[in-house]
Amino acid sequence: MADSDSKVPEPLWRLNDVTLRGVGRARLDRVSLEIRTGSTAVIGYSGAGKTSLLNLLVEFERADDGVIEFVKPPDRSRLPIFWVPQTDGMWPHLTVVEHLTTVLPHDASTTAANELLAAFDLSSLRDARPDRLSQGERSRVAVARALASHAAVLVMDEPLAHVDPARVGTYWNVVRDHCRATATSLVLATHSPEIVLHEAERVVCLNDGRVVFTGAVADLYHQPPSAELARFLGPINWFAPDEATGWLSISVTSDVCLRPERLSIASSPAGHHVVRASRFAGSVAEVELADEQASRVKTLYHRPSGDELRPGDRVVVQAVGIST
Amino acid sequence: MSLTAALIWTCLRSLTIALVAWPVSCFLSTAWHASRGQTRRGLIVLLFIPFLFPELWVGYAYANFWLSLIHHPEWNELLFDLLLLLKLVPAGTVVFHFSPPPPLSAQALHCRRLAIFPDSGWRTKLAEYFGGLLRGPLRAAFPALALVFLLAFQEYDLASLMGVKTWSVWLFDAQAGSRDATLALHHIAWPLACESVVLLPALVVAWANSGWSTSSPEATRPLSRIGQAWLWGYLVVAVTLTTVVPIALTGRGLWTGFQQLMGSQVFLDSLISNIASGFVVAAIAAGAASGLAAVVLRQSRRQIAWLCLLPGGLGSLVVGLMVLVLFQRTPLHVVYDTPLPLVVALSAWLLPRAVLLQLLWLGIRKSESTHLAGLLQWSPTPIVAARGIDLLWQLHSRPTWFCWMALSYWAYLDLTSAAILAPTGMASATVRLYDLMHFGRTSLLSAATCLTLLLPAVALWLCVSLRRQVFRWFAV
Repeated sequence: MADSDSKVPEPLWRLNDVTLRGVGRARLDRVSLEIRTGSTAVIGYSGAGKTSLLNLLVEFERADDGVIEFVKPPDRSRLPIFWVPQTDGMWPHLTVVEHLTTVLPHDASTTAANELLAAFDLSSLRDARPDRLSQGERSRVAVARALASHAAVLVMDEPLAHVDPARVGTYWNVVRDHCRATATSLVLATHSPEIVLHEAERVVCLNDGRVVFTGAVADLYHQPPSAELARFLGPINWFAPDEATGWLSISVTSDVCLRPERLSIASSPAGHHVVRASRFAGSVAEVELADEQASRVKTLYHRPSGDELRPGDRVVVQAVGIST
Repeated sequence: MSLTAALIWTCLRSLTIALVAWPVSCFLSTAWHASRGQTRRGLIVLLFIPFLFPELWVGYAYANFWLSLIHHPEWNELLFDLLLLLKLVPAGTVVFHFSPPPPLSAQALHCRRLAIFPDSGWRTKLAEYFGGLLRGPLRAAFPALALVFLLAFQEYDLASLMGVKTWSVWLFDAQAGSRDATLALHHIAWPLACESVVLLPALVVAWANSGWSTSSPEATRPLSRIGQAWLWGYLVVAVTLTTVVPIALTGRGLWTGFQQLMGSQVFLDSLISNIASGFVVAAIAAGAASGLAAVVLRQSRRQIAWLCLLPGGLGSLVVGLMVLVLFQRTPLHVVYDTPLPLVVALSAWLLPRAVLLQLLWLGIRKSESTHLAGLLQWSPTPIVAARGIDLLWQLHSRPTWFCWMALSYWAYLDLTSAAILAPTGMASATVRLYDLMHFGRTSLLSAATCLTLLLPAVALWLCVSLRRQVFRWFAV
């Protein structure tokens, strides 16, 4: 997740004051940023401009203002760039296997195509045309085709978004292994904080067509500049200094951001806080707590380790890894 | 029959055909959505054969048949209506097929009905039902209905050769031999008004519909066995009546006809000259219409784009007469006796078709798929770059050529504008044949018809085949 290499990655794109107009409002508004080699996630809420940005990167659309510079990767033996569009961009007259063999650069294309088909569970559909495929199957074909292209940079717009959650992890492993083995850079747009945390080294956060954060995923996860930005990567517990004293019994001079795994809420008869509601949602539980002394209520997220908390339980809240 | 009577009768006929075509087109569009693979390809081919097969050929083939029904005009009228319906259903189907889903989906309509209290009065229930129908299926269907109505209303070739009275036949006969602009203006006023009453609302609704995006396309289920039987039964009947029977009827004695044609060197030479000149004009008009369509589609102000389609929507005869007036009454009269008026008229008439084709064919294809094929061109591996170029040909260049080919052929087949506007000594082969067809079917005329209608089609096909070979040769 974090930059393991001390060497600064080379730039791939430099965007300077880029604007893409839309109906009523700009789809991208004076965007300036640098995207480097490695894996970069573009995240944001619906309509934030993720697809617009990726469309500009692959030159599917042209910016109305500003300059976009694509620094072609030095390896001239590879296709510079390939794309997984949001609509999958199927070639309607080609079969699944032909989608792969068309882009495969080497002679052993049939073997390589078969391996990719097997990796994405598409072997049984090798002779099917896109109009016979489900959305999930089409998105797998689109990703498999992108890997088959052996491009130096892959741009993926919400890849594998329609694939069932039980199998999507396996396919992401294939993508990750491919990128590592072939030193392929990946730029992907996604809504999912899990995918960003698993697959990306750097992140670009967009909101209303503007870049609101760019940097390492680890920085946004552990030291986000604001609560709004922190929420791009999932639930957080944000405490102003006075709140930190009341809820966590710690004294700090600046805001504290604690991800669910760094917050412990344990049942204790001596606790000052009372559970008003608790909802368990897989690995994270949402707990509504009342501070009886200060007469205030706050919703907190944590990773439950024991029995589920019940309304009326008294609890102690502690920050993990922060000394009081 | 007066022009008014012919106009009223044509209106009633066109309305009936449009209303009958509505459920048929709807059913065929559903079948199209539900079909996959080879079945879909077969369906599309069979569906479009009746629409694309030249009306001149159909009319000529049935010309002797209608003479046998001269004492039973009602049967002749029914046969004409049936043929016209079968030819126009594909046009309605294609509009249905590519129309965005209505703003009120079937689920949304059902939710509204669920929201009505059971003890509501019948007026509320009726208002709700028709309100939903107007905002939902009917609004989606209106452009398709209007298109079928307009095409039936503008029909000329088939009606003329089958001896059916329509306003277009009346007007063309009245205009024959006269190029009087005042008379033309006087005559086209009412047909123009009738067409505008349908065309303007249709364009407004189509423009409004083009902005919908609130509901996704309804899921389609495969057709039942009975549905399949109806589908293929309909397609076989349509292709048989509009294509197979005309080919069979003109095919008899064709060999003798070709022998006679080869023996009449003067006639053959002048026919080929007419074919060539007609096709050159048609090809230029098709190119102009394609270019204009691309400009219209790039217009950010969509009102202007839709307005550009208005003249073409009025049909070839009205456009031809309007251009006649334009080139006789303005300083443009200096170029009146040149091919320019005909090119202008054909381009204006083709423009809506060009826009429709580019929207349906290129609009869909100029997409992420095409861009991905373009990315392959940059591959350092020559074979992959060549595959990218080949894909581009298949996804973009070939459809562009097919659009131009279809437009050229439509323009080439046009009778009315060509008859009104062709300069002296440049009569198109179709007009010349049409004049001869009124004398009945003969082997020589059948052979000349085949040559006139097939020669440009074959030439265009060869052109595309060669183009593809050249494209591949450069790519590899």
